[in-house]
Amino acid sequence: MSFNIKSSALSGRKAHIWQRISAIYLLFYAPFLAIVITQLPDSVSLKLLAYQLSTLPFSALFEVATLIAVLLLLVHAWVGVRDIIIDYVPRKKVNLWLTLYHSFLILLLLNSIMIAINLFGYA
Amino acid sequence: MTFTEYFPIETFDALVIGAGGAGMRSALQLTEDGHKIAMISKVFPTRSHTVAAQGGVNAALGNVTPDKWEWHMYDTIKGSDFLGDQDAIEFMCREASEIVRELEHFGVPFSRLDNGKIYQRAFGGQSQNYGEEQAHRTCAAADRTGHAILHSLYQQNLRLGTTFYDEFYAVDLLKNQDEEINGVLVMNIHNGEYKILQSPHILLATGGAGQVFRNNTNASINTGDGLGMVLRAGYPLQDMEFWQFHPTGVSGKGMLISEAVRGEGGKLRNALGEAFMEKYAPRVKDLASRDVVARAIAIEVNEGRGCGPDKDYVLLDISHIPNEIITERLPGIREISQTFLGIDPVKEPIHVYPTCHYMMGGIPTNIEGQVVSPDQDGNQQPIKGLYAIGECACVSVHGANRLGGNSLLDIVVFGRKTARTIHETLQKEPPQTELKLNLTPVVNRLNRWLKKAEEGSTDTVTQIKKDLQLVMERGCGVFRDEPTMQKALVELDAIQARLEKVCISDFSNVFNLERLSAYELENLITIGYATVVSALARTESRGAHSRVDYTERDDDNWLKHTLYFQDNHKLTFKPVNLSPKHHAMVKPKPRVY
Amino acid sequence: MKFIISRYNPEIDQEPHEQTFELDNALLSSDSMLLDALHLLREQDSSLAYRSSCQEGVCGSDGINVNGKNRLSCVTSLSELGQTVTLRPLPGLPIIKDLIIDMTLFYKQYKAVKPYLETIPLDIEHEHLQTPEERAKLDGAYECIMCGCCSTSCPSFWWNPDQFAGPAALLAAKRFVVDSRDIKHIDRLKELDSPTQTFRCRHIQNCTDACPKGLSPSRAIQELKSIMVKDL
Repeated sequence: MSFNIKSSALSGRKAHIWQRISAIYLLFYAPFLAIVITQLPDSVSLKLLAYQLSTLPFSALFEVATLIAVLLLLVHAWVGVRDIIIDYVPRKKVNLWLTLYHSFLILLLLNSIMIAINLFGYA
Repeated sequence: MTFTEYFPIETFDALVIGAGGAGMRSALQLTEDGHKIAMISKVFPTRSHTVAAQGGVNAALGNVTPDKWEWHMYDTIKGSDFLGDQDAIEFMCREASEIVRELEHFGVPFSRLDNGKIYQRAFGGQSQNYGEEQAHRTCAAADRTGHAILHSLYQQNLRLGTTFYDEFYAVDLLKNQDEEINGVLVMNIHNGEYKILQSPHILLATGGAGQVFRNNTNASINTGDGLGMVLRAGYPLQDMEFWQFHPTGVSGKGMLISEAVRGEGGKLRNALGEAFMEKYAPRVKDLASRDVVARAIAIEVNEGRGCGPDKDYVLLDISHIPNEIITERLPGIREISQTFLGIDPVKEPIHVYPTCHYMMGGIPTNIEGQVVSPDQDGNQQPIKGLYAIGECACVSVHGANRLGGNSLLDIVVFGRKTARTIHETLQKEPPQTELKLNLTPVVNRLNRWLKKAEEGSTDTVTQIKKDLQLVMERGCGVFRDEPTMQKALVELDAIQARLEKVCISDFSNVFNLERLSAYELENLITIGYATVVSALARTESRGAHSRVDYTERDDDNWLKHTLYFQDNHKLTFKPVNLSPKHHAMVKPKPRVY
Repeated sequence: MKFIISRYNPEIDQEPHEQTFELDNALLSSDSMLLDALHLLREQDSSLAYRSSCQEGVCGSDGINVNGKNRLSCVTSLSELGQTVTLRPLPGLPIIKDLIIDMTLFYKQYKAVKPYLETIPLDIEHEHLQTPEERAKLDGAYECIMCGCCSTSCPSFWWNPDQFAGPAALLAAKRFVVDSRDIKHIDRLKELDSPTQTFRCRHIQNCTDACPKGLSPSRAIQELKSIMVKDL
């Protein structure tokens, strides 16, 4: 059965590189996040959390780092789930599933940006 | 059901039967020259037995020690115990450097020297300046040179898009109304269907027949199928008394332990710990020619200096060779020794004993690769449309004893040369294949194997093959004499009688291996006869043919090739070629190492 | 010893079934190989089909699944297998008969990676120069015997044998990518750069575990990926 995965964005090498970059970034981000969390008093709401974050000495750095982390987490998941789809979804449906999956990721990305604006916009 | 004389036909410019190094090299050439060819192989090409060659391929590159093709030629003639045809040997040695560089260009991963050139190791029977210092002439890819060459040739054939018929078995040559070879009947092993491949040029590259002996280094596919086909077609086999017993096979099992081990410094020792080759070849010791070393080991064991509980082997000691040399140059040997003997040769010596390795004889050909047969006046005439190369052929470049490293050379040199011969002929005479083929003999043969066994008969093809191997080993081994060979001949008659009666029990069509081994057995038995009849006639000792009752070489009477015909086991003879074109003749003289 | 062997004769059977054979231990010795036992079993039943040729582990004919692991029968010592041995054809490819599989897809994938040296025209006076260090890069890659034990142990190859090159073919690809004599280095890398080719390997290392020659296709593929990142 002939089958082609469409889209040049699917270069295995590029995906591989992004997966590595995101993995390494998240590796360093994780302890940073842990440190930040220990610095925070108990919070009751998201908005209060955003305020409390803004009082930390390295808040600006943390905000940027978090934004990148979220983006790279999405990239990492993108490659991983895409691999699963290519591997396990029946041939004829791969392209459909990839399209659905990409749409879902775009929604998720927009959502993250909205949340970020909401949170940090108040700070 | 029975077979009738109808089979589907396909036509080709040329057919190559056998996908070892020889067949693959010629297929590559023919495909490159734009011919429509078919490469027929009973196994997938990289399973062919060239894959098991270890030590290397000879060429006077002079990368390690000074070297010249003339010295290589001299060593080969001396190694052949002066039975090799000097024009053919000269041709092969002159082509060697170029063809090895060509192999290197095909991708063969040769081991390298520090200066980047191909690594060359010392091998038995190699000398500088016509018999002086040891030469290093064997180009090696670690101890997997055959594997490296076969895979590279297969890969280049993939590049050019050669047509392969994998797992097709060539049953018999077919002649047309004019009694010319014009096709071959093949069986697709996958489904048991037969078809005719018709072509005016049929190149046999079917390899050796070491399976005729019980203890051998050969693959189970080495059953001399091309030789059987040629005999049945009424043509002779040449020099079939000459079988090389490799000095160092794994004792009791037969796997090859390359001469490279001794080339890298390995020493043979007997039960007393003596490096006994000093007695038999004082000058070059362990690197004497293979027939000399094999006989020395057999003598040591026969005289009670063998090792082990049954005193039936000697030791090959490499414990003094640095570890990194073994890892880099002899990794395959270490693996074989560990797998089959449970011995790590770095620590303990390998148990070895001579084992049947190579058939010097075969289908007689000229330098062009054409099969030749004597006419009524005894003159050698090419048989139109039939060619042979590699171990199945006898050009003869190996004479009575082959030097290590010369067989890989033989296959590529004559593989290429014969492809060129066919190419030239095809350019002169376009293929004509409309003549009707005579199928009666082959159809009778196929139908014979459709017979069902009589009530109570228990004989099997496998059992007959085992008995044949034993008869040959006992009757025609390293040392031979009249009474044992006469006995073997009688036993062969009994085996032939059993062959005529035996039936197979499996009549299925898909991968029917019993039917396949029945066809192979027919070939093996004819080879058994060719060997014993030729060996009985030759009342001298020369090269690998060592007779206890005729211990000396007899150039006055026996400086000639034997030709064996199946019909009435007839023998004729033909002179050895002593006229090289670019070099003075090498005169026969006593052969000492 | 007891042998449970998967049998399938396409002329009779709808699907494979198991058949149990007994082999008298007296016929075997301590250093018998599995292939020796198969030969003896064929004497009991001449229709038993398996491939074999060199009998010393270099031709790659006799890959079979032995007690769940892909191995070469000729270099598998019986003594390490226990008293009951289960033999099946290599998994993931069509069965032709008994222990014989149809390796067409396997070979097709090999051919698809262009496993042949492409280099400058031949100069009959000189070989290419290649330093021992450059040559050493081919070690661990050129020794492959194409037995198929690796690719038929690879889930990625099981799912998509028509798409995914599989470990054997990728090992061959790597062998030419790292050969200093090859002039198609970048072209090769570009062709291998596909999520269905090199990057379908997830490095679960079944291939390395299965390889009877002790090679590591998984590591070779890892190196191939690194080379792609570096050189493309």
